[in-house]
Amino acid sequence: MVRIDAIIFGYRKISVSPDMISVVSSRFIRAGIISSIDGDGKIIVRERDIKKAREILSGISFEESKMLGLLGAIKRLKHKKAILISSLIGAIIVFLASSLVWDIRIDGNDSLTDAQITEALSESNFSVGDVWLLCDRSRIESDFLRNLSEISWININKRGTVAYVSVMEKNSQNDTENEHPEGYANLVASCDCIIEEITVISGTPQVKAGDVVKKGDVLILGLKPIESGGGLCYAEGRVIGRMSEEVSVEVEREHEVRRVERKKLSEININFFNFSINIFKLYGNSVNGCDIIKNIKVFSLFGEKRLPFSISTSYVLEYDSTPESYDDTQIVKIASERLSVKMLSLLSDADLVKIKTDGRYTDKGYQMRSQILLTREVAEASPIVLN
Amino acid sequence: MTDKSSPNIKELRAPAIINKFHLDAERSAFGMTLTVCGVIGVRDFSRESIEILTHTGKVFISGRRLSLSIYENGAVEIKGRVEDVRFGYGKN
Repeated sequence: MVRIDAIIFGYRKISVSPDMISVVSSRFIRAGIISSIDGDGKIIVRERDIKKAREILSGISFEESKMLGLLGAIKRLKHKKAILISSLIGAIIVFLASSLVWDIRIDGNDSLTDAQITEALSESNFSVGDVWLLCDRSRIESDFLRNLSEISWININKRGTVAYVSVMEKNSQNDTENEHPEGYANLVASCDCIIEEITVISGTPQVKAGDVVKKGDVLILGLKPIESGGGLCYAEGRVIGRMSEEVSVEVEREHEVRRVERKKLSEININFFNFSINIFKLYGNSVNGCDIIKNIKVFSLFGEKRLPFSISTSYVLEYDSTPESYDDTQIVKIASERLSVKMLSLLSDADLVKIKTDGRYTDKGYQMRSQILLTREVAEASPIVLN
Repeated sequence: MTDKSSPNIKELRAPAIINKFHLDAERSAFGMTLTVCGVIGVRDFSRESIEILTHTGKVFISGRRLSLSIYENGAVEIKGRVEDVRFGYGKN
């Protein structure tokens, strides 16, 4: 297979006798000439290496073809300007024609017609005849959802010159946000606590402020008061309970620190639409404990329209671990930071009433502990099952 | 034309490659691609078998419809339906 750079910049085929191929290959390896052997046993050498190849092949009988590839074809046709110009014009026409939207096909719509969706797309500046490169599909999709409230999701896919638009309509029958829950249920305690406050919306309260409850105890019974007619119901309300929790962290004095030792460029690819052309790749023994970072450099026109090609480069970061030891001040600071993080997550749905923190040095490092008194909502629904 | 890139990308420059023996294999269309580094010569080539010389020994690759490509710094690439890879010590 001929390399992409050889096709573009030109190459020649060198024929030698079959028993000399290995000798020629060895000479090329030592001289650092990039070449390949095709299916017919001919050696393909890039045009820029051909002079050096001729010097290396002195003493060996060989035949050399004329210059091939794109540059070779242009040089041969240099005197036939009409063919060159018409080929170039044809290529430009094909490229321009394939960059337009020729058709829009819609699927996923039930109650809305294709005409309504197409009209909403044109209000969002997307219709037949638009240029693909200048269409920002994510902006068109968000404008479309603003213009047509009956649609909950849209996706525009490009296949060749046809736009395939998939939509999903909103189903108002599935909107159950404001519906009352069906069935019957009690509100029970989700943990052991002391009741701080209880507010009943429906049902019969079973506890009052100050009562001590255990996990699973009924707080609000799913039974309507007799004055309201009695009968089962879905208990609703808000019950705040007070409880104590303990949070502790332990930090070890001896630890390992990872540092980046070396950063190596390992791969360069040029991406054009969905094709990827590899320009450079580093083969070698991979090191344990390394990360691979991939950067993709994209290009845009006037800062708005993204162009269909990008350059991606991959780097290998090799790490080195060294053992280190925290001093007293550092270890206390780290323990305090870790304890704060744990407490933040504990207090994300609760209110802090009181906190008492202490710390002590241990054989391995430092231990920090907090006793917390907090309040949070403790009621959870427990369905009533009728036999 | 504007470009968005990480500020840490340095100029594109091929790093120094250490010429140690290394063999990398991956599946590809129509068979397998074998990349061998640390090559000093090719002793035998045909569409069914290739013998490669390295600093420490030899590598025999056999299969069907094999092709050979030579790159810089002693790296070669063999593509095709590779069936057997054998190693030998010494250059003789």
